[in-house]
Amino acid sequence: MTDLPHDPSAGVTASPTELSDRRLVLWHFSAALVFLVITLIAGTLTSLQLAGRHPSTGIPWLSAGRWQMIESPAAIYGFLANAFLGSLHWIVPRMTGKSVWNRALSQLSFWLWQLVTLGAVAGILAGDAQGIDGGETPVFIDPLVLASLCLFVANFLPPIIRQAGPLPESLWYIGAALVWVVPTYAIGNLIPEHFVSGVSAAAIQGMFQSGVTNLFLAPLGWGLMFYFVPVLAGRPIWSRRWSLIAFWMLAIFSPLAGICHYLYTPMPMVVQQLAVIFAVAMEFVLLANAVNLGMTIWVARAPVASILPLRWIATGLVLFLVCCLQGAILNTFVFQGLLHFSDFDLSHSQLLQFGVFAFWLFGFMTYLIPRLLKTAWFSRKLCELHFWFSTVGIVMLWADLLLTGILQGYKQSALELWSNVVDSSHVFRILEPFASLTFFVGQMFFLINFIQTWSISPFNRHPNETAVVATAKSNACRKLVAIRLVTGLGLFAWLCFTLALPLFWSSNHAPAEPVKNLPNPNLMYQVEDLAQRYPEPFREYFGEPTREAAAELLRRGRQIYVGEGCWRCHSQVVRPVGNDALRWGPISEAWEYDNALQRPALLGTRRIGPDLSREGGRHSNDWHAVHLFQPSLVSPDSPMPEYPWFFDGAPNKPNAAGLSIIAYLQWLGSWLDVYPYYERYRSPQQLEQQMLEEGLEKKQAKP
Amino acid sequence: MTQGNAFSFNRSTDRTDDRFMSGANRTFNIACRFMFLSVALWAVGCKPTQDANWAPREEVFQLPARAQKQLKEIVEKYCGTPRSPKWIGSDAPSMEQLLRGETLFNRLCAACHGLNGDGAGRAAQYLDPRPTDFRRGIFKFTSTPYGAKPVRDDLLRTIRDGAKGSAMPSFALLAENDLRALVDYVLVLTHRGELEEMLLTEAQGDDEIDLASVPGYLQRITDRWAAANDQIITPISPFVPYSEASIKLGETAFRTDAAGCYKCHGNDGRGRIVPSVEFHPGAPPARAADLTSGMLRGGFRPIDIYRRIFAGINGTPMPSFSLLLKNEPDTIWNLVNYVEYLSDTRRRELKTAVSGTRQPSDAKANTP
Repeated sequence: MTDLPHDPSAGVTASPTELSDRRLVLWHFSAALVFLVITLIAGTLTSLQLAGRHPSTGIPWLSAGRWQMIESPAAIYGFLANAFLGSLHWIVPRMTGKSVWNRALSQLSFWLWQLVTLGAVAGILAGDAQGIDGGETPVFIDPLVLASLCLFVANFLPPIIRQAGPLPESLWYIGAALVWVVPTYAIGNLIPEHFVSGVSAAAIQGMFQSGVTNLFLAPLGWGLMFYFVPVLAGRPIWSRRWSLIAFWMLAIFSPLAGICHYLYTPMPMVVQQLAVIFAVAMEFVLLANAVNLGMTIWVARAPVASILPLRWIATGLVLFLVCCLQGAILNTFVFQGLLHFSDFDLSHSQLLQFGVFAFWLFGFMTYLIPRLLKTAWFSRKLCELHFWFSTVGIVMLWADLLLTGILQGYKQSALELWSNVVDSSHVFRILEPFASLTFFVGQMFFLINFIQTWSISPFNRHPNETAVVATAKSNACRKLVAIRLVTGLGLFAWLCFTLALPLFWSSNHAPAEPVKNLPNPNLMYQVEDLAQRYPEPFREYFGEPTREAAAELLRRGRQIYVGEGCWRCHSQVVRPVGNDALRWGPISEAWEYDNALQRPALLGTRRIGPDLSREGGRHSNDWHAVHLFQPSLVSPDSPMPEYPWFFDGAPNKPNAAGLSIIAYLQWLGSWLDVYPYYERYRSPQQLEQQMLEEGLEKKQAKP
Repeated sequence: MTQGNAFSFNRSTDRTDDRFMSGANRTFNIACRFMFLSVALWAVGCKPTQDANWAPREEVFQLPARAQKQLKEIVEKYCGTPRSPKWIGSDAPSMEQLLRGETLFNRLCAACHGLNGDGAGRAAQYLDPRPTDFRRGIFKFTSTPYGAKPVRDDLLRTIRDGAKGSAMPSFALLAENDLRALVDYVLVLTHRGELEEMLLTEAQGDDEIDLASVPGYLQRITDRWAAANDQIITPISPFVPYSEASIKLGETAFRTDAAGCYKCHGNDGRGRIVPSVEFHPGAPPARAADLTSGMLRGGFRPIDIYRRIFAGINGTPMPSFSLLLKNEPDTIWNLVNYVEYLSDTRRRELKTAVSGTRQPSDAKANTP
């Protein structure tokens, strides 16, 4: 192709076309799009469930509960990570002048990564998820994820470290992301699952949840942006100093900021306050970068509207500012009291994933794909449609969730009946699938365009042309390499240190209560009641209603609670704000979480359904059975999925799963004095006082 | 295309582009429209519509056509329809209040209690105990003597607090006014059921309803409900304070023939020694309550327990002890205290359990 579009980056490196394996980049992009489709199917199914229009008829692997958990792993590890890695395969060799460490390793890590991500999706569909937000990947997948992450790091880090001359800001960010990703994933997934429980686990989970964004996706995103924006705008970055200040602030402040997801929980107050301070500092980082990139585009007077990749990026930046503002609001005590666990949270995270990172990546891809395939886009119109459908879709979804969230927050703290809270958001729930589908259709245009472009590409006819040759470029001197290694180790150490801080503060240093100790007299009543109501299945699966049987019920019940995604829609924490205590009962305390069933801690992510930490004794076992079998039987407007596979055909025939989950629900809160009269329990002494106040006469003791 | 744009197209592909789009545009448009239309239809959907009137009892359909028609007309004349419910008797609540009650009832209660209050909603067959059939006019947890009607506050308390241990949940978050509206609507359903039953009995005997007898039936319903307000049980003696001595005395009465509670509730109060009793033909068997569960369905205040013992529980084998214990009024209070003590059993075990969930004090002890 002689009439290849002019490449403004052509001057940056000598012979870029030979540096990277084009096919690998394209594979990564293709995989990213496949996972994007999976993500969107998950999102659409979830929104249909909430609108009360889920197509499933009691098929476990179609359950919205499970698909909801697929959404974030498929988005983060499947779509975003693949697209980022593809872009890295393109730009790291170009910026450093060296190809990746080992090309065979690139192939291996690509396939391993797809295997791992598909395995995670399959595992979750089979009902084997992990109760960590952002880390729903099944426990058995975790080591494999770590292994493939290590492969990526080993592949990309050497060229960056050995690059001659000063590192461009882009490589600072990318290098840091590579340093952070392995410890973040390891600490976030392994520690709360195997080593600590309760509040300490929750602290780690909170940091992981934001760590995935702040320590993995965001630095990669910034790194690529600091490359692509100057290239597209045709002008160097506006202020190099700002970008480096922002980098160091990110490195210092971001790890601890994650606890902002758990304000007002029983976590030590000092950790919560530190988290708020760190989160505010983080806002400055993000703003500085956004302004820096925005100014680069502004000063260059680049025609944002007509250069499509630049339009994607600029739109992404605007949405990013919105996202930051929302994050800043969420991370303060005042607003979190009202908005936590509402859809406001979700509108923030959805915008970040699909409005910010995805938009940047679409920009990169729109720019790169014609270059990779050595032909122009098959259809510019489809590109435009992709842009407009995506923009309209994500803004609709964002606004919809935002309004739902505010409404939920108000209704919940106004102590409205739960069905009123659900009812009031019904209009928005109906709109949600439309927004998801609009976005979905946009991606379909992109996919079609991609496939068509590939099919007309000359690359398609001669795929073996892409021999990769690293240009001989001088290596950095030993001193520079040493400095970079030390800096990398420093970043690594600081991350581990800040992640260990809350562990130190929030742990009571006692071993978690094992499951066999957890059955208490209140739970035993419910277990005996289950054995009496459903004698055949109980005897068949659990024998006699003993403490051992109860422990087994709890263990299995918790597995189901996690595997079916209950924890995604039900929280397990009563906060001291938002009238939580008036609605549910005593405010949660840290000791309640010190047991093996809170490993990882199931504080929850949203309150689509009511909080469950005070659920024990609130409803009877037969009610729970009917409700799990088909929620609409007892509460007609409930958006909860049906779980007929917990039963053998009818609500009065629970199987092992049904018995376990009911026992687990009855256990929640059963350890409290006030069980089951959480709201108005009185001790006998208080009752006597009450009788006197009601005017009853007290018998006087005989003289 | 401007020269130097990072995003530009050469002419040849632009043309293919147009050709493709002319066909594609149409296809996409149709596809999009179809998709959105189908989603719109799906989202709006069809909600089940409610029948114009409450369903009558099944027995009504076995009557001769004339009597059937008569019965339905009379019931509709005096009790109205779901969209315009009528109140039998004096102190009728406003229509607005009744309609508010209807809305709430259909949303919150009908799934178990049925739209006409027959206790046979969609979930009912799987629940034990069964939801109350309001049409029979029998309510369990009352502050009035055995066989008498409840007062409004009794129904209100059950809705607000629920019947702990049964499938009846608490609706404590409903506003007072909404609770009252629900009670009023439940009473409309109850009155209607009672009138229907009386008419049915007459029609089954005579194959025809004598219209002259209707005012008598209405009066009977009005009188019985009005009477309840004057029958509220107040304790016949001052209450005995909660003390170890009183609990001991209560325990003795409980475990001997003095009160004889042990016969059904067992020596340990767990109510599992006697087989379940089938009190009403066809109804699921009633079980004596496990008093140690900490869940007393009729309320856990001493006065609630006093009334359960003094008046018994309507529609169940739990008898009234007012006659038996007439001469030893303190024994009732001792029993009340003993039941309070029993219902605290698990709470006490929770505190003293050797292993169990860690308590706040332990957690503090473990903090360095």
